[in-house]
Amino acid sequence: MGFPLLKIEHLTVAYGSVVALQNVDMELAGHNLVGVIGPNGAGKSSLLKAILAMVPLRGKITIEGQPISQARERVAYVPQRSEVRWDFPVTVADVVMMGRYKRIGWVRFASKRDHQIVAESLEQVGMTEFRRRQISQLSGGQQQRVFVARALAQQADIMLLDEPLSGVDASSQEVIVGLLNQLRDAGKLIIMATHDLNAAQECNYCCCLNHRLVAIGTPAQIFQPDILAQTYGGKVLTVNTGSQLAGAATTMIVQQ
Amino acid sequence: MLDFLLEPIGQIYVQKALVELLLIAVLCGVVSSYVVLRGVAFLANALSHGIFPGIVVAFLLGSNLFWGGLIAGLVIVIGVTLTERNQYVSENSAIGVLYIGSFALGIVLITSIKHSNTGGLEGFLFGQLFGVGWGDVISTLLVGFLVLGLIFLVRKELLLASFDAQMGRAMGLPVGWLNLGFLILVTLTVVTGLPAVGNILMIALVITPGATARLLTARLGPMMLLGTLSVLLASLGGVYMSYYLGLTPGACVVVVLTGLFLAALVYSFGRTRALIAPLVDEV
Repeated sequence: MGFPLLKIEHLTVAYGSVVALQNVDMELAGHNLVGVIGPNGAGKSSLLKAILAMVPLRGKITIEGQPISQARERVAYVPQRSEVRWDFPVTVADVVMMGRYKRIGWVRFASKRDHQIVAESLEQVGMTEFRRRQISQLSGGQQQRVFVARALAQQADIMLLDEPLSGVDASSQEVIVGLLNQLRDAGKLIIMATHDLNAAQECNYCCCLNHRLVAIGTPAQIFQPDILAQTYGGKVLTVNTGSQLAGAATTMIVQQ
Repeated sequence: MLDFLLEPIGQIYVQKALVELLLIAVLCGVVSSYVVLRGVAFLANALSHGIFPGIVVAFLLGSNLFWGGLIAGLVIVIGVTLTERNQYVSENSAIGVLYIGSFALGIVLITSIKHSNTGGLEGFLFGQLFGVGWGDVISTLLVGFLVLGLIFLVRKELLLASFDAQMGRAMGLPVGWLNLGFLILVTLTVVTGLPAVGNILMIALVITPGATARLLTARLGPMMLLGTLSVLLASLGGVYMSYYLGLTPGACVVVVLTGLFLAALVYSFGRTRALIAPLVDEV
């Protein structure tokens, strides 16, 4: 054993003179679904991209002791919806197969096993019947499910999702959140950046960012007025509707 | 009627032109599909103008215009890539500044040697389709094999980098190098079309077929096929038009090609309306 699945030490991300994240430290193990919350521009996307070394960064990030350059195939990534060309002429099955490209390798063709994994991944997100559809013909929620299927096809140990629930209908949201919980139970580490505080409460860990790591802990520890106020930098009204989660409010109204 | 159709084909120079156009059609059907889907039409336009000084210098030195154009194209592609790294210069500005600057340099070079014979240079702006030789045809064949072969080898990676560049980077693909490599293939395509249609008309061939095909299909394979088909149709139409009306052949091909695009556009509007009309009635 020894090494944690994901270890982030003294991480600083800066774009030119604009600092997105400063001095973030955390260690995360498998069997966790972590919700990353914080206001717009707080560094949520930067944290995910830093793990994949896609942004200029200082500090050290390791995956079971290995740098990302040696462990890239262990991390799957679902980008923000706005960063994809949705009118591109590819089918649902084509998109999910992209998750296999790195393992297939340059020049070579997909094997029978690759096709089988694609079919299984589509099955898991309930999109099998849409496999021959053009990606542009799907609803936002369906597109997001296809992207989660693509990440599944990567068969990674760590899955990073950037706002997977934004612009997604209720039924797709249910499928995605249910699936993420399953994956967590299967031992994976799932990190999800989200605006949706209700969804964050369903995670077993929450991480509050505002250019720095404000707090990390269970939802019960995190959903406290003072911590949310520090995260969102304003006055926070909590409206407790008196429900199941002891110590945590189910509805939060955040005011800048 | 039969004579009308057969007479041009009996001419050896028309045969050479049609074989050259057939090769260009296959090459441009594929390349233009990617140009359109990747949204680099403006850059392709810029490249075609930007290789002008390379052609002029090669002409002055009496060396091969193909290599002159290719070297200038590489300078433009790498120049744009480096310039846009400055956060205060957008990609569009970088392309606009460098290509028109490069084109102007070509004109300065030409006018500085006005006393010499520049007849051949005009041919390279607009091509001499009926002056194409078997040497040009063979060079197009080789370049076509090279470009299509390379695109085939990196088909998966190019698709991912075009569709979802962030995911490509996340997977560790060299997305920047793929982008640069693709632009070099576009440069090769443009340069190989110089003898037949010239660098200005070549712009149409690396954009229009893909744009036309995209109006008719939403799948990548059929898009490349339809793009190729549209160039073949335009080639036949353009060559006959030029033969019987005595017009510049390269320009005739591009005019017919543009006509096909407009027809596809009208068809596409009609289809969209046909799809929407029943919905509107229901409301």
